[in-house]
Order: sequence, then C-alpha cells, then structure tokens
Amino acid sequence: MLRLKFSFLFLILSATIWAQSEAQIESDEVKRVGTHINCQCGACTENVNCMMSAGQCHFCKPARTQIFKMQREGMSDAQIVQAFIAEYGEKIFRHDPNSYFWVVPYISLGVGAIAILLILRRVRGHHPPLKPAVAGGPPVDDDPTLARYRDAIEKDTAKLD
Amino acid sequence: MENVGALALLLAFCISLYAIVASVAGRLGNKPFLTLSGERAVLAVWLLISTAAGILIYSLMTGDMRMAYVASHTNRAMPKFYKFAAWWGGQEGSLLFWSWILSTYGAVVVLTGRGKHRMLMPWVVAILSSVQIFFLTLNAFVVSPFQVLALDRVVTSVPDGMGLNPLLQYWAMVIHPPMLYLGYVGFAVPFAFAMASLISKAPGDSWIHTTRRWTIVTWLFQGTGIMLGSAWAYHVLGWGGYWMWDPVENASLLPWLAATAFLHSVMMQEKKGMMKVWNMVLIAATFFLCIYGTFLTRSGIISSVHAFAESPIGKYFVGFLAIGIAATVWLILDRLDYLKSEAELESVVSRESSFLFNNLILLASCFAVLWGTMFPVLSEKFSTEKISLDAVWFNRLMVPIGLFLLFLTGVGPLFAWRRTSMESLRKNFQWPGIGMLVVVAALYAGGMRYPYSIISLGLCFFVLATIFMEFFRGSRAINEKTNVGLIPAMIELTHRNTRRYGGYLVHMGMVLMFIGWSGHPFNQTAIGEVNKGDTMRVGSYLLKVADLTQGETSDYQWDTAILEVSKNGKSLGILEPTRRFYKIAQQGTAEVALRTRLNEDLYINYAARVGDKATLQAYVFPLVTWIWVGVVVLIGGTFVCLVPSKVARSYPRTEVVGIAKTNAPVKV
Repeated sequence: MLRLKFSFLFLILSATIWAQSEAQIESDEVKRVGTHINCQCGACTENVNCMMSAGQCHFCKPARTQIFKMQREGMSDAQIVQAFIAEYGEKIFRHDPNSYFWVVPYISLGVGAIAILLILRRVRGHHPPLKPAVAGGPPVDDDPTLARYRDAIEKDTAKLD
Repeated sequence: MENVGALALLLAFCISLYAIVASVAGRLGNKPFLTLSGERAVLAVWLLISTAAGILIYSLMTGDMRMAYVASHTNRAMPKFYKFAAWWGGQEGSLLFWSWILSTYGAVVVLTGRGKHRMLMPWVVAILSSVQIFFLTLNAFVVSPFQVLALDRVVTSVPDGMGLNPLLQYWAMVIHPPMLYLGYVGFAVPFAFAMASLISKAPGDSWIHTTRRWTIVTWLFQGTGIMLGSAWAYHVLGWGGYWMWDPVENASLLPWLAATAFLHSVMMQEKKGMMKVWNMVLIAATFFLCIYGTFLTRSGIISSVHAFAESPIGKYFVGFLAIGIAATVWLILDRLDYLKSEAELESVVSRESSFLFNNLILLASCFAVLWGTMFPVLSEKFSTEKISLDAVWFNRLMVPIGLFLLFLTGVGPLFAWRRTSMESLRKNFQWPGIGMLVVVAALYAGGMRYPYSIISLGLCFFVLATIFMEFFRGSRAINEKTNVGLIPAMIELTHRNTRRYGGYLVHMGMVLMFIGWSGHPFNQTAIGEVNKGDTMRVGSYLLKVADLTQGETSDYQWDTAILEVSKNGKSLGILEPTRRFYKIAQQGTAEVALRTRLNEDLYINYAARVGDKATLQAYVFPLVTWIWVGVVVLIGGTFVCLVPSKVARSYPRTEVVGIAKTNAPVKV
C-alpha cells in the first residue's frame, strides 16, 4: 500500500510538471477512465454527473493529464482508478450503470411494439369495405392533361419488370 | 443606454400581456379590431426586443466594459466576428437571443398569415405571446443582460473583459448556436397552430398544411445546428470525437427525433386522416422537449462542456413546463372527439404500418436518449450511487435501435399505401436484399469482424439500392416517354413530386452518415513524444517532426509543429497542427491538422511541447468524411422537399365506411 502511495505521489508530481506545460490531452482512452472518477473541484456539488472526463475545472484538466501519464506508464484502467480511490477515498468512484439503464428503454420499446402488433392483429382478417371519397387509390392530378401524362408514365413503369 | 434596453424589455413584457388579452377577448367577443390590435402588438414586441438586442450588440461591439455581460464575455482583443457571437455566448445574452428569435417568428407568422386563418390566428398569437412572456420574464426580471458593474452603488467599469471561451472561437461554433435556437424556437409555431386548432375546434388538417414548410425548415435548422456542433467537436476539441452523448448534445437531439417522428406520421393524417391525436402529442412533445433541452442546458443540474453556468432559472423552466404540459394534456383529452381517425389500417404489410413502426423506433430512440441523459440524476436520487455513463454505454443502447431505424428507412417508403402485394415486395426488395447479403459476405470474407459495422454497411447498401431503384424506374419511364436523358429525366421526376423524391434524398443523407459512423471501430490511434527530426507512425502514415515554431498575437500565444507526412514511402506534404494559449482566459486550445479523404482522415493534435520534444496525438478515422457528405445531402434533400411540386396533387381520403361519419360535429 505504501509503495502504491509513493508511486502515486510520484505520478502526481510528474503530472503536475506535465500540466504546467499546458498539455491538451484529450482522448477516448483518457475519457474512458475519467468517466469513473468524480470531479472534486467543489464547485459542482449541485451537479449530479460532474465526471472528470468532461470537466474543464482546475481538478479535471490536470487529472486528465495525470491519467494520460499513468496510461503511458502502462497502468491499466482499474489500477488508475484504484490510485485515485487510494488518494481521495471511495467517494471519487463512479459505478457503471445498473441493469435499469438497459431494461427500461427496451421494455418501453417492447410495450410499443406489442401495442402496434395488437392494432395490426385487429386488422388481420378484418378488411372493411372501402369507399373512395373522391377517387380510389392513387393521387389525383388537378390538371387533366398532366393526369393523362402521369398515367402514361405509371403504365410504362408497371411494364418495367 | 442600458436603461433603454431594460425599459424596452419591460415594455415588451407588458405588450405581450396585452397581445394575449386582446387576441383572446377579440376572438371570444367577436371583435375583429381587438384581434387586429393583438397582432399589431406582436409586431410592437418584435420592435422592442430588437431595440434591446441592438443595444446589447452595440455594447458588445464597442466594448462597453461598464456592462457586466460585456465584461464577462468579450475583451478588447477579440475579433469583431466573435464579439458579435458573444450575444449568444452567455446565459443572459442567449436568453435575449431566444426571445428575439421568437418575436421575429411571431412577426413573420402575423405578417404572412394576414387575412388567412381568421379562426386560428387569435389563438396562435395568444399562445406565442404566452411563450414570449415566459422568456421576457427571464430577460427582464431574472437574468437581465443589462446589469452594470457597480462599486458602492457607483457604476464602474473594468479596463478589459474576460473574453469569450476560446473553445467557442471557431466559425462553426458561431453559426451552431443560432441554428439550434432557430430550431428550438421554431417548433413553437407549429405547436401554437396545433393548439389553436384544438382550442377553436377547427375541423380538418389546416394547421398541418399551414405549418408543413415551417416544420420542415425548423427541423432543418435544428439538424444543421446539431451537425455543426458535431463538426465543431471534431475539429476543435483535439481528439476527433463528433458525438459524445453529452447531456447538452442529447438535449438538442431529443426534439429533433420527436420532430422527425412528427414529419413522418403527419403524412398519415394528410393522406388518410389517421393518427390525429398522435400528431398533436408529437408536436407538443417536440415543443416541450425544446423547452426541456433549454432547461437542461441552463439549470446546471447536469454537467456538460456546453452547458451554461449554474443559475437560478431552473425553477422557472420547471414551472413553465409543468403548466404547459398540464394545459396541453387537458386540451387534447378534452378534444378527443374532434380527433377521431377517418380511416382504419387495412393491412399489416402497408405504408401505414411501416409508419407506425417508424414512429415507434423514433420515439423509442427519443425515450432512450432522455432516459440515458437523466439516468445519473435518477440513479443518485434513488440509490445514492454515482453513475458513470459515457458514450460507450449510450452506443451499446442506441446502435441496435439505430440499425433497425436504418432498416425501416429502406423498407418503409417502398410499401404501398393500404396494401402491399407479395409481387410488389418481391419486385422492390429482391435485388437490394441479395445485394445486401453479398456485401455482408464480402465484408466478412475481407476480414471485418465488427458485427455492428458489417450489419450497418450491409443495410446501407440495401437502403441505397432501394433508393436508386426508385429514382431509376421513375426516370427511365420518363426517359422512354419523352426521349430525354436519364439525368434530366431524374430531375423532371424529382420536380414532379419534390416531397417524395426530396424525402428519398434526405434518407440517402442519413445512409451516408451511417456509412461514416460504421468506420468508428476501425479508428487507429498513436500518441508519442517526438524529438525534432524524429518520426512517429500511425496506421500506414509516417509523421516526421521537421520543425517546432512559436509566436504570439495580441490575443494568444501559439506553438506549431511542422510535420512531413508520408504514406508507404510517398510524400503527402506538410501538416501543421497548432496549439494556442489565450492570455486573458488562461486557456489552451487545439488547432488540429487534418488531411481529409473519402476513405479516411488523418487527424493530428499537437498536445504539448517540452524543449525540442513534441507530444503528438495522431489518429486515422476511416470513413468519417461520409458523415459530413451525408449532412450536405440531407440538407439538399430537405431543400428539394421545400420546392413546390410541378404536378399539384391532392390526396383523396380512402374512407372506411362507418368510420368517417362518426366524427364529432364541427363547431366553429
């Protein structure tokens, strides 16, 4: 544990030096780890999803650089997160979403699909007589000449196969 | 001068109130002079808000550092272009911008609707003015842009301002917010017409015909705004992301998805007299999701790189949403008798049922995005567990839904209205289906092992093939009839039914975007510290650091890495990624170097420099350009939809005996 703390301290120091060069390290890999770490700047306490992956504050930006540095040292995602937990405590850790995240949208999708299927089931075997209001089926052209022209094209189109 | 601006907003607030009273009293009391007076009040409100906006813009451009808003969002070194953009760069200014766009839309509605829609217009004016009052309340009483800096009750000024966030100083970011706002605010108009139609118990679909173009234009603004934001993220943030499922990105996507569902289902009402209640629900949902999105961005309940600072306006939005949704639900329930369907579904395999599934998927996407956005909030509320929810999780949830939507994009338009025969199904889908299977097999045989990418590219082929077949069949018929070439025949075909063929082009744009997204799993990344004269490799590219230069302007310091790029031994020229450090904001930004081709982008971010050593982040993004090509095609297709068709068409309702006559009696 002590060794881990020393190595963590070393990383913080090197990261601080790195941060002073105003590095702009933003990558999917860094963000992937950053989403599991809660912002600790103290300014976004009202904010429920202030993840370090997106924050622009004095905590998040150097911390992202720190993660970048740790990744370059060869540390895995879990090791990096553990290093942050060791420094700040469990409160810094953000969990993966639970199964509700998946279940609820897909259940709603399923309920919608069932509703549509029930509507469509009513249709099967029940074809009410049709009574065209003006003329059946296809759209009606206002101009009779154009209507004839369109009909000719539709006949030609029907022969294409 | 700031007092004049504040006074103009107060007057606009009062006159908006008058517009509501005059319109409603004029309509109920049958007094045309009052309704006319209400319409003129809308024009007066526009004039007053324009005056306030003009004063704010003048203060921004001249650098009036007595004003808190100017000092917070500009500095003297900023180019004029960005000083103007600071109007919507902060909370107070952007809310004034919201109000100004709404008042402009209101004025356009009044001016273009003069003499038309006599029954609807008073209610339209009242509803738009109600929304206007809400925003003017914020402008005038809660977050005024005309506050001045004061010390011991004496007005004072600062020598220079804080400047606009350097990340926002990018051309796409200047256009992106106005586009989004034009979309967000624009949906208030079809919503107002829909509610006016309900209040006045107006028969038929006149509100839909009146607002069809308006809805499409607004949808286009919203979509363009979203994609400009995406382009900004890709080009500015330095890591090549174009969509992160950030809460604020999601907030803009929600109304767009609901509006897309509305634009599809509204065709059912126009052509078949069906889904009338559903369309009311969809347009109301679209409007309230716009307000909800604005609330998300500004209340501070969620964190985002795009969000404004925390402010006290959240509770006002909650109140407005609660009252608005309650009133809308009551109105729809009260008018259910007037919204009865004029027809029934006749077949499972028909255009109508495909629209139902289309709506289901779009609404499911909308709900999934909303659920995901609010999930951390709900989770912490009910389990006190902090949740990590990033793009990876959203992609897992949304990609299957998106692929099904892509499938429907190909299938839906080829089903016939009422019934589709097996012969027609075979004719339309046989060759695209076979082609899709061949593409999938070829991709797998070629070594591709990402299932979603394989399915996506296969479906893209399928949808493109069906679209091309539609264009080809129609234009060949014209070509044989008139002996014109295929291309002119295709143009003629499109011109005859712009809505249908423009719609196909919009679908084509979406397909091209899916092609771009399909390349994501094949991204390649390399991060390296490279000495001057040394090289690093990313994919098949070799990058040699030829030089590292630096300098400064009045606004920022810059560092540029001059890179010689080659691929397979062949020189491709020089790329110059730059990083800037803005002096006043004390913030760095990336000016990435990009080599764009249709097959892949080479993307380089100059992340840091230590002595003669540069830290470079280099990426190869396959197919990403197709996203932007798709956006252009989508915009073009939408414009085609807006062009009037050469052949005027009217669609007779196919009436199912015994249904149409059960409609509620019309009372006007």
